[in-house]
Amino acid sequence: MSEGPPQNSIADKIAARLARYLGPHTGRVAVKTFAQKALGRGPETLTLEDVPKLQQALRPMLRTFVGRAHCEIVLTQIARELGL
Amino acid sequence: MKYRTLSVLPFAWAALFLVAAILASDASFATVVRVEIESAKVLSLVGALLATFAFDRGDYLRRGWGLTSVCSALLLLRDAALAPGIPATMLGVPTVAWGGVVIVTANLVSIAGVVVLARTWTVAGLEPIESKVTRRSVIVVAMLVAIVVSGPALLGDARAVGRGQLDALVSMLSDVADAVSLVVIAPVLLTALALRGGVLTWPWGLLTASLLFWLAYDAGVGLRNAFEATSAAATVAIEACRGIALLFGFSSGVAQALAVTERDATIPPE
Repeated sequence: MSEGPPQNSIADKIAARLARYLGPHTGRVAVKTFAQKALGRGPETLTLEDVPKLQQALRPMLRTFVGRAHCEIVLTQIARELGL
Repeated sequence: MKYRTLSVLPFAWAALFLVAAILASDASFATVVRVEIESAKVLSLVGALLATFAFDRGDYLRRGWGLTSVCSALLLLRDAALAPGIPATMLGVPTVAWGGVVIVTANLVSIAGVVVLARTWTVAGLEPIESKVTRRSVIVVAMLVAIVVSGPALLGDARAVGRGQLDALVSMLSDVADAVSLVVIAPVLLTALALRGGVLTWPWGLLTASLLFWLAYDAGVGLRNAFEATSAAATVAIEACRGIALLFGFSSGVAQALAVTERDATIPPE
């Protein structure tokens, strides 16, 4: 059985939530960009402990596109889906 | 479904206008055209206001949509100032001159608004999705189109201003605003494409469509002036483009408001 590319369910869940607004491609790009910016690592290395820092990094981008109020709803939902 | 309806609405509007223009008598034709223009402008203002107030104070896009709203309101104010029954002078100044001041202000506000909207991707801090070559190609094409469509009118008005015709200054500033709007089609289109698959692709896609129909309108006006075409058919074609551009503006504003205020159905209620 062939193995696919390494996946990280945390990064995937965050990207999937962002995809509703940004589309699947930009959702993934956003997670990758801000994981690098906030943590200096790729999305495949994300752990639950990294999520608050990543949320913090995603906040300005999300606020720009959907406004402060909706941004907080999205970030809260991400935390909820990850069981935080 | 709502978003798809919003994308079809401008064409339904144009079809309605076409039917009304065909059915209109020679005497009522001008009224039909005027009613179509002013109604579309009101709807465009409504869309921009809905988008503005969908955001909180301090939100980046509230500024962009807010400036768009102010521009739409000023253009309506100018039309109102030229309506029959309005005094020829106000505070000792000809009403037409007041109209010119309002148009200049509206154009400056419009430039600021489209630039704010076009910079959203950069302000959000996202990396460009397309390759450098693609981005540069799209921007160069947009600039060339802007030069071809707005260049001749801009040059003509600049010459008139040079000859001391100050009233041409109003027209010249409108030409500059048109050129800027055409150039920003590029970043707005790239944003719409990058967001495809997400709900935010709709406001950006519809905004791109609005800018493209403004481009068609400007090109139509340029051709009409060049060929001195004064037929009713030319007027209907040009005004249909303006109506579609304004209605896409309305649709874009509504789509923006929906995208940021609508409850996400995939989030289970608490």
